[in-house]
Amino acid sequence: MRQTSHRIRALLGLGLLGALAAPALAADPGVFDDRIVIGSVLPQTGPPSLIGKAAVIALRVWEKDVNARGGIHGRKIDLRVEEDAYVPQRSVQAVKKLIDVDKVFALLGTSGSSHLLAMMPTIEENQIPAINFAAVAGAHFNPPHKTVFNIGATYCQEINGVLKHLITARKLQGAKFAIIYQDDDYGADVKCGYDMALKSMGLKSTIEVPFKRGAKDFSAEVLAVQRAGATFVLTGGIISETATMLKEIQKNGMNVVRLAPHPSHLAPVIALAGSAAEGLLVADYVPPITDTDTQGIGRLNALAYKYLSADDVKAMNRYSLTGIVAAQLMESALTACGRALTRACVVQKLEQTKNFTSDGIMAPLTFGPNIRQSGTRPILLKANTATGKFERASDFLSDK
Amino acid sequence: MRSGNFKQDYRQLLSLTDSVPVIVWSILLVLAFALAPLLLSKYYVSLLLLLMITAVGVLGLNLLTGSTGLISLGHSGFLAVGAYAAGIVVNKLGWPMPLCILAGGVCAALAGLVVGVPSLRLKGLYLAITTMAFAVIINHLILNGGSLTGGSEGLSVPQPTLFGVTLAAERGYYFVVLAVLVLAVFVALNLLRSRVGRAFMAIREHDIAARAMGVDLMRWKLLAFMVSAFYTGVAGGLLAYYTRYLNVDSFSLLVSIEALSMLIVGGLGSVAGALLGTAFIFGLNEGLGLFFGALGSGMLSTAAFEIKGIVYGLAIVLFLRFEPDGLIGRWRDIKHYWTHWPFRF
Repeated sequence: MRQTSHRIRALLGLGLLGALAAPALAADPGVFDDRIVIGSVLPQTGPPSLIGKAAVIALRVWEKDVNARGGIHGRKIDLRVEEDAYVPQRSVQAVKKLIDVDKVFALLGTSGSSHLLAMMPTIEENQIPAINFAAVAGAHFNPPHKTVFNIGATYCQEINGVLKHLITARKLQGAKFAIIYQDDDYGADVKCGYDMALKSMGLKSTIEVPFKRGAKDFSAEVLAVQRAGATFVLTGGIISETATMLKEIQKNGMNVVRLAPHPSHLAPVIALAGSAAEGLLVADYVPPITDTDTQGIGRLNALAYKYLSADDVKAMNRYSLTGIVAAQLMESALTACGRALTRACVVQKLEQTKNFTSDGIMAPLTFGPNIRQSGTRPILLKANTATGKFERASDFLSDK
Repeated sequence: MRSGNFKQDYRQLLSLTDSVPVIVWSILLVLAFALAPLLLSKYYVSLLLLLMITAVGVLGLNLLTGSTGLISLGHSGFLAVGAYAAGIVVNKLGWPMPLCILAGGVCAALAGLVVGVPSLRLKGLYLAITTMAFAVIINHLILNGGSLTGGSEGLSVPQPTLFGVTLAAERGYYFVVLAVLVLAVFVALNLLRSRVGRAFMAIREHDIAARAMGVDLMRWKLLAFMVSAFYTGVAGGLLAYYTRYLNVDSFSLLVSIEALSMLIVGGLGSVAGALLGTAFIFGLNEGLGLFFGALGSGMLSTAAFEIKGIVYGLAIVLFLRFEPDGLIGRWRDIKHYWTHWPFRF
């Protein structure tokens, strides 16, 4: 009788211990025995869908590939995509849905620059590990946000690096520099790189011409640059703006070196500008998607042809490259955490990332305590209108 | 059997409603909304919260376009003025939340006074274009507002606090928004049954005839603009505390057009119609989002979002084609049918 009582007590004790231990062992939201739910907020409609669709295609390829390999420690990836139409307020709603309804474990893809800022309070409140790969701005990592990791350079960093390289490599010390930039944070960031590069090289800008966001006619701006006698023009537009500026430059018969930031590294720029885009230089931090000799890009292409339709493969662009690197980085952190997966562990593993290689898609990635941005080494590209593609014009350059 | 809706004294005529079921159902609806945070998950509560904020703005637009007949495509501008005013006041002056939201409403009302001046001479499409221009100007002012508005980088807004207590969006703040919406509905209903409301409606029906009857067009048109803008500004202030980040991209012209479509689908000139229209369009958008989101988990994800946009537009077009009086018109038809049944009239 006494022995039975002891056993009951022992069982009760074990039960109590189990109950106390349960919260500690309980997995974070989005982690199940057989799958891990990963969320993504990216624009899928309207003009910005050029970014979001290409990125989602890469994430889907990664999802299928990981699952075909048996998942991560036996857990398959379950990717949930929310569309935000590139409206910050909708980004907030989208991330709330992912966290509350889909119970995502982590975020891969956080829409545009202001959109991530809008989502930041929600991400921080829920301590969601997030990788931003579509638009990197200073406010995303300065001050650092514990769970948000950014891959890629800001416009300021890429223009600064590439312009310094151009001045040295092409001996442009005697050139007359001009910039046409958008009158918003994007334009300010582009101009920041231009100013930094010229200052560090001891050179001066000849003319700086701002334009209103949404402008469609650049005849006055290009004429002002021509009158100033510029021999180098930084065209700080996005897609249609760059194409229109290039056409104006061609129409005016200007023989100038033209450089654009990475939003112009998209096939529609060449298609819209036609022969005016020939020789356009672009600053980016990923090589062209058509550069399949690069091991990482070659593998992405092979997987895309394996898992996607031909139309989807055609829709891939530079954002597919940054997307796949972000996905591989996340996979690495998830793998390193093992079966006992927690958000805190993923954040810790991401923070401990040292020289993470993407087989040539981006420069090696390194994070650290309070370092939440990496992959900032830029690369110079050149437009070839005969093939309708961009080509590599340099290796990864210094970001110092 | 009830065969009509006859008023036998002034008290009955002036009462908000003489129907006990309407009062009971209204109380139940408010109670249901009040209980929602206890029963629903955070996301669905946040949807209700956003729905209520939108409803406050649409009620404002209804006072101007529905009741006074002055078309406005500039309400995204008033919304932006309200949101940024609240954001700036809390960041720069540190005022308490209710005062910041009120400041949003007051600033928007002042902007409404300025925009209202052209309405004294313009009507219809000309007025619509003028108000649209106002929204464009506001966007440019925000973009070039420097550190005051944060330019295109945007403006952060702190978490709402009330009497020193920090309010979570889907919990404490939800009740603040619910209280504002209930207040906004009461004020709108009372306004429309007062001489102010009758003046608004007289202007809507025929402004020259209204003037001949002694309605001061300048006074009432400007008041309509101010009251409408105040409502929308308050909605902007509420939105600022909800999203806690303001960016000019959130106040595009599409917001004005969406608000107008809510009003038209619900039924112009009716408070209940404005609320129904807001719920319908909001529900349609979110419902389709959930449906296509579920479909979109496969490889068709990118196409699914495009199809969602087409279905959303088609639903609105079909609704306008087959129910031009709006949801409130359909509701009245159903009510009349059951009131007079088995007779047709």
